[in-house]
Amino acid sequence: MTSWDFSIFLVDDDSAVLRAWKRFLEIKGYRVHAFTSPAEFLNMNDPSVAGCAVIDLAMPGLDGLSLQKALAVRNDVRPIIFVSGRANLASGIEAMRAGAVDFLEKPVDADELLAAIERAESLDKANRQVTSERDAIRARLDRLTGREREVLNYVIAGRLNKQIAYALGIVEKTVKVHRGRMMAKMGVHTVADLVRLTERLNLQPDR
Amino acid sequence: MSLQATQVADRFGSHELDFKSSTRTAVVIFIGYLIGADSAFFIGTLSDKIFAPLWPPNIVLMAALLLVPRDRAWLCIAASFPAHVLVEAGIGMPALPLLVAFGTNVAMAISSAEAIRLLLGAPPRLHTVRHIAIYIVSVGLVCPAVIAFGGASVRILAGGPIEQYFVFWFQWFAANALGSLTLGPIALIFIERGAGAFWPGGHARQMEAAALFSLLLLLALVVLEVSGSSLAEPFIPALIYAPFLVAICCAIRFGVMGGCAAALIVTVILIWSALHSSSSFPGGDIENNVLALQAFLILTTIPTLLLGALADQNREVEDRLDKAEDRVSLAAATANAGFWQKTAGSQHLGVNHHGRFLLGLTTTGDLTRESILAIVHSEDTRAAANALADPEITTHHPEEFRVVLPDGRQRWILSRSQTKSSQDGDQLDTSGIFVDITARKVAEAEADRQHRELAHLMRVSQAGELSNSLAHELTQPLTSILANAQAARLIVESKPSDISEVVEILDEIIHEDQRAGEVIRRLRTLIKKGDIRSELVDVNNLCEASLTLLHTESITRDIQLKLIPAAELPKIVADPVQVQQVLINLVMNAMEAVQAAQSTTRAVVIRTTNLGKDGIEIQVDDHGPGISATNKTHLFEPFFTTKERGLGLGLPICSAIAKRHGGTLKLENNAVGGATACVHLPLRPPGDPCHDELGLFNFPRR
Repeated sequence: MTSWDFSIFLVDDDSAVLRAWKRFLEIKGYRVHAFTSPAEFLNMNDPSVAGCAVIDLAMPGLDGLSLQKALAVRNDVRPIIFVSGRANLASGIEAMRAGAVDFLEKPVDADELLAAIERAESLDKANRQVTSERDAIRARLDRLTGREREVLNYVIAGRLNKQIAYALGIVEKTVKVHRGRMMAKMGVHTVADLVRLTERLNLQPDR
Repeated sequence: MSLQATQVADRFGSHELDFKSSTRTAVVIFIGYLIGADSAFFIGTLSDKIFAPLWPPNIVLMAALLLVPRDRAWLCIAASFPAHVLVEAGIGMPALPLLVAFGTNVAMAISSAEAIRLLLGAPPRLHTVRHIAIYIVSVGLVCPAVIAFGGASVRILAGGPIEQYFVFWFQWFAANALGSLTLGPIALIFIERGAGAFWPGGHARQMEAAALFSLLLLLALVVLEVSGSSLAEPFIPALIYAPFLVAICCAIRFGVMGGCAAALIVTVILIWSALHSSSSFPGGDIENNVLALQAFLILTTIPTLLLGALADQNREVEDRLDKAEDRVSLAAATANAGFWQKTAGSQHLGVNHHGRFLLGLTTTGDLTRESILAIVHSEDTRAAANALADPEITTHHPEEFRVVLPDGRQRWILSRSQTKSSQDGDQLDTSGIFVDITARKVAEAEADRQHRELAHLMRVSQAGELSNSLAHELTQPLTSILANAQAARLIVESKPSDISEVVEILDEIIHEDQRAGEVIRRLRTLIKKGDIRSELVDVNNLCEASLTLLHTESITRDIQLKLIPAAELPKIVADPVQVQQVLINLVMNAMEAVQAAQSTTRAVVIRTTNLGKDGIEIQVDDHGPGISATNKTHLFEPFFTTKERGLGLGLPICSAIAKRHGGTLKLENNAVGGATACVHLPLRPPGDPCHDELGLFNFPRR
């Protein structure tokens, strides 16, 4: 279950809390990075490192919610677990709506924290899997020539070869050649597979 | 006094009114003159049947002249003329001497009346020795002496020998002087005070007067009876003095009025007897006897009158003193005050009846400073000792102290005194008063208690406002403790040998637990109810502690709290709880102002300043919207608030706390558009017992 490849980024202005959590989570087998201010965390954060953030909602300077927004702006999808010394329902709801994994009240029970971290870990894993798949599809897409890309657009729009040839002003035979190369490069055999791939990238067919 | 004068003036005026009816005035004067002359002749005349040794008509005319306005003097003279003619013609006086006699009589009356108007005022006053002396010299001696030159000529004109002119002069002078000295003052007193002045007030006084005058009459008659015998001859001077003994008594007891009346009686009786019973004064001729008698009467009447005036004056002073004393006693009783008196160097202390009552003393014996200090509450001995100290030792501030009454109750006494050197200049006499100020002290204590309660209520309300952030302050150490404890359990479970890390964890748990304890302790001080304490407070430390309390609150509000402490700040004597309360209140207000203004500079700056011997100052600056002119006037009014949920008691209570410390709280707009609250606190509150002139206040009171 535990993994040394999964890092936990702790952000809390209280160093005693930070120390205690770091100690506990390290014993549990996580790699822990502790930050006493949100700014420090933002500077040091490497989105490519697998892990989740445990952030105190109320801190001087940048507070937890602002930090969440700052991460979103950077397209950083690192899962966030919020903790707070006070039951502030409003900021809790806002945090959850903005995609936080959980909102825990201090003093946080160890099991609750670990459960939230596990959820974050699987979410992070899933996020990273989706991202890597997309990257692979995009790499295949990038290998297509201009003409092949055009043909792909028409194919996923459900056009027949004849229609494509007419639209591109070329003969049907040539279209077939482009189409074959394109399908090969994309690594699919059927039009249905091709459509599924492109949908993951949110590609919209030209109509 | 002025009231009496007004009444006198009224009465004087009313006499004037009576005399406005000319006929009536004339008739009254006519009759008066007639009676005066008739009585003079009744008492007796000398051998020429013309000259009377006592001549009252001039006094009647003088009184009439004083009672009517000056422009009606002619009426008096005209009215008396027929009376004069009637009387003098009745005894067979020729026309020329009659006219000259009338002329001298009128001159005597006019000069007397004018002298009185000029020297004694209108209405004439004979209250003091000075007045009576002026009267004796002017009306009693000078006027008759001058006019007598005319009067003596009447006798010459009536056929008397010219060689006797100066004898006549003296006779005329003595007759008028006697009238002026005995009858004159009675007339003036009647003019001034009315007929009521003849009757002494009160039964006892009337009895006394009756007894004295009876004695006088009796004595005069006895003298007359006895002086006839030849055996008594050597004793005659002593005998004729005897009635004057009683006359002097009358003057002492009944003033000028009594003295005059007695002198008049003696004069009448002696002159009558000298003229009618030749046996009374054997030897010599009657003329000489009467002359000697007149001289004797004049010489004895003068001291009698002066004595009477002295008695009057004395009585008036006594009366005034009595009234003053009554007023003072009334004032003292109303103020619940008692008097005390002390001579420097003497242990003896005189305390009046009410003063003893205030001190709860039932004894009537002598009191000393020690005997009073013995009943003073032990905590107030110093104040009481100061209050009763000799003036060389102390300046006389009013002092307040408690005395323990016999039933165990306590009474607050304020002692105030003033010291003067006594008349011989050697001794310093201190007179003082004791005032019962228990009611004021109780009210002060009650106000104090209410202030404490209110301040406490506001602290509880502050704690309520801060409870959320204080709860957060508590969860931090609790979170840390929990995580540490769980980590320790994991360690013990997985690798029990690694004891060093567990020890480290336990240390941290202890530390965090103490931190939680500290939060609770601070909260408890905030809401604790207790007496106002006076201790040495380091305001910089206090500010720091207060800001710690507000730490989470400031984070939640996203406002930076900045403390700029003075490099060297003297410790002040204050109640730390209340000063902290003021500080928290002001910082909370400032934070609310910053929030309300949506200010970009989200900061509140707390600054302490050393003002040297004037104490210290705490300033709280914000970047809020500032104070509007309309709000500014109401800032310190209770229940005035600009907040939605405010009670409007924060600033009034803060201001009251500052005042109780002898300081001030001011709120003003600052240069950056926000408001600045400024608390000034002296090094020690006024009235603090540690207050000493040398300014050495580095010793805590408790």
